[in-house]
Amino acid sequence: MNICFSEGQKQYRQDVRRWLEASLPENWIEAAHWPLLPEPEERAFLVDWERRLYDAGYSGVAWPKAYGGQGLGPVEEFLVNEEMGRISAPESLNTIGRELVGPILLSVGTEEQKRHYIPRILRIDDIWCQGFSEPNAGSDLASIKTRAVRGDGGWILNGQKIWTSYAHMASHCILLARTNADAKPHRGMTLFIMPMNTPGIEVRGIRHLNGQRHFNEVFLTDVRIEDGMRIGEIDAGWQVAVGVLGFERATTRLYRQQRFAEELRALIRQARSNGSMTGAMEEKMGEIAAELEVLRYHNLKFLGRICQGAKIGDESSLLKLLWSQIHQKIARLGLEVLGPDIDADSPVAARFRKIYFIARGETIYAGSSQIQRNIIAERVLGLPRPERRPA
Amino acid sequence: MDLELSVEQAQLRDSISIAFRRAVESSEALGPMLAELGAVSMLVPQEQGGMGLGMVEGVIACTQAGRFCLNFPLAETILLTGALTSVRPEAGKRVLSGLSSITAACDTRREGQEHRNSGGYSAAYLDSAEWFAVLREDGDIAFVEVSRLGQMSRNDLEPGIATGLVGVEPVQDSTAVVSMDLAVERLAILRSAEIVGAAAFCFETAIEYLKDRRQFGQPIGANQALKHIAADGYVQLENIRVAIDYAATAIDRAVDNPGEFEWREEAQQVVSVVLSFVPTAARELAEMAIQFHGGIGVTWEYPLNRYLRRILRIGQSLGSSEDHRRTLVNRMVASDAEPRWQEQSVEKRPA
Ligand SMILES: Cc1cc2nc3c(=O)[nH]c(=O)nc-3n(C[C@H](O)[C@H](O)[C@H](O)COP(=O)(O)OP(=O)(O)OC[C@H]3O[C@@H](n4cnc5c(N)ncnc54)[C@H](O)[C@@H]3O)c2cc1C
Repeated sequence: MNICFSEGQKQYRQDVRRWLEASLPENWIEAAHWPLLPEPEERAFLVDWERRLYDAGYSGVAWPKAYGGQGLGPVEEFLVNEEMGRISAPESLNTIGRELVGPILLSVGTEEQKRHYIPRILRIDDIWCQGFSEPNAGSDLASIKTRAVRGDGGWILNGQKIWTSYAHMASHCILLARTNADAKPHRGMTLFIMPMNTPGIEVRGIRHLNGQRHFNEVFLTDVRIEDGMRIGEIDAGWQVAVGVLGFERATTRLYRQQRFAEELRALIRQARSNGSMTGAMEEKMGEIAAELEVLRYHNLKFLGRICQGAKIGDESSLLKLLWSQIHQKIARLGLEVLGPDIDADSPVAARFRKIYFIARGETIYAGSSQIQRNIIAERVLGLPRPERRPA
Repeated sequence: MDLELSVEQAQLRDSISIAFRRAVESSEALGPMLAELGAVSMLVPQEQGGMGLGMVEGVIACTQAGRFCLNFPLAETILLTGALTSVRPEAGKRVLSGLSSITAACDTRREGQEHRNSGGYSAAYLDSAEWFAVLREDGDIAFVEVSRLGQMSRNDLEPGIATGLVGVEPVQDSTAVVSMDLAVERLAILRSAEIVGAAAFCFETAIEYLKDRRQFGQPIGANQALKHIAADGYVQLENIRVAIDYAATAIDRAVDNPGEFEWREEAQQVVSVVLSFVPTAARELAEMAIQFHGGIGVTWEYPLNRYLRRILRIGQSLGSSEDHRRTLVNRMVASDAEPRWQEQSVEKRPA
């Protein structure tokens, strides 16, 4: 076992840290980590920030140079993410592009798709959304009904997606559609690249618990796309999505640990200054601090395995369960520390109000906590499926 | 970065497991068998005739001891034999040959505090160990012969082994004092490894039971109510495992690099993390296993009983989680743990 980073890696971390310190937007701290700007301004702000990250070489760290990445390894990617989390740097507008589409295209995309789309994700020329969930296919994703049929030399799409985050800002959608109605549900789906300006797409906003327009309904009526927009083999969409998702779930969210630690630090300072720090409160905080540390050890263990080229499978459910639950604990702690001031017109209150509402969804998307427990119980522990229907 | 066992370490684990199984199934005395295996001399420095292995290997051995509920003070003996040998060479030889063993207590009382209400130290293996060690937080270890201890009472938490409260005079002529870097921390992690082995046994036994036991026409483990508890148990067990492995590695790194102050601090921090949750989490895993077993789980004869008692005894000796939690909170907001630029926020604020 080895828990040391190499000298080169330590130096790299120092460089990242120095660059971040020098480059964070002027008003970032003033805005208390959440720019509460009107939507177009917030968008412009985030796009600008991401371009600067890219120009400095801190974007696509582990992606191949041929597609605009930095060609470094998973450790460097981890270090950049940790440093960004550590100072609560702005979260990407293009998480779907970076965490889902990029890895999927890099693993099964055509050469042409990679050359075109990967650099555009990094430069944030394209913003992506993910069209998987449907009104009747959430946890049970394999029962999607949106159809893609052959026509006009390409594909014609019809159906409805829901909960599509960022669809209102996105230029492209990674779409999961049924291409074979006769095959078993898991074997009849295909992934597509769908430009959001294609005729036949209607986007209707859904307001998130936190008050912002976060996600959308997306209606598809005879949307025509070329066959070149297909990702991977026909009918293999599920295998691609699930294979990449497991790995990504384990790797791309590692930075959250540092971000959450920063939030806990803010609450400790707050409690010490507003007089709410009791012995019981301190114990609760210590418990969360320990959980965050353990999450960091898990992250490092996964990182080690990735470096050794190991396959990451169902164990990534463990990380998803842990980070989403820990974040909800921090969110509740925020309510306790701030008390009635949670409603105050102060940056810290605004920050923890938002964290509280956002965290509610984190145990739901990307496989709910219940689904993660099912996966652990059945696939990791080998517990049996039910044999009889309850009376 | 690597938190997996190496090939050699995995082999060590497997061979220790086979050997311990044989040892508990045999009727011979454990000490000499363990000595012959090399288990006793694992952590003893090579200059003293040992194998000179580190905490990671120590954790491997103690975890297996926990899995088999071995009636032998393995954590204490493997950690302290080298120290005892350096001050009492003859006694060290007896331990290395398996004729004797070492039991220990940690003196973690805070300055100015009374002796715990009882006025003594709890200790185990008082019928078989020849040496009793008191580990102080400053790293000093005082060895006293068990025969010279004032035994104050007997406990029955673990009926299979002689446990009780003992009193030690502050200085006795028979006391031998030696110092060892991070001794308290090392012992805490090895003991934690032992209860983790015990908790893992309980968990795995319970999972098997969920697959075998049928009610309402199907295995009880097909019920989602139990599956989700089991999944949470798995997460808990993985949390414990990764924390202990990380702690063992961090301690080895600190001990091998005495000049690196930060590494030493990190080792102590990880030990606080472990002690803040492992004793409770291990106990809860045993409790979960009992619940999964129904009536048979609360019988004296079923093995879970022994394992639960082992976890309780060692877990209780590891002290309260409260101090460790406070330490972690303080460390989080210690200046070196914070991003530096936070301090400059006032200057960055636009007018
Ligand atoms: C903030 C947010 C952003 C999202 N963004 C996107 C996006 O960009 N693109 C996209 O495609 N989707 C997105 N989703 C959708 C998300 O993936 C689904 O909400 C999720 O898969 C759950 O599906 P559902 O909402 O239909 O709930 P359901 O599947 O109906 O689940 C309802 C409840 O039942 C539980 N449940 C369901 N099945 C089982 C079972 N077998 N055993 C035990 N319990 C079960 C669930 O855990 C949940 O508590 C987003 C969701 C949220 C909250």
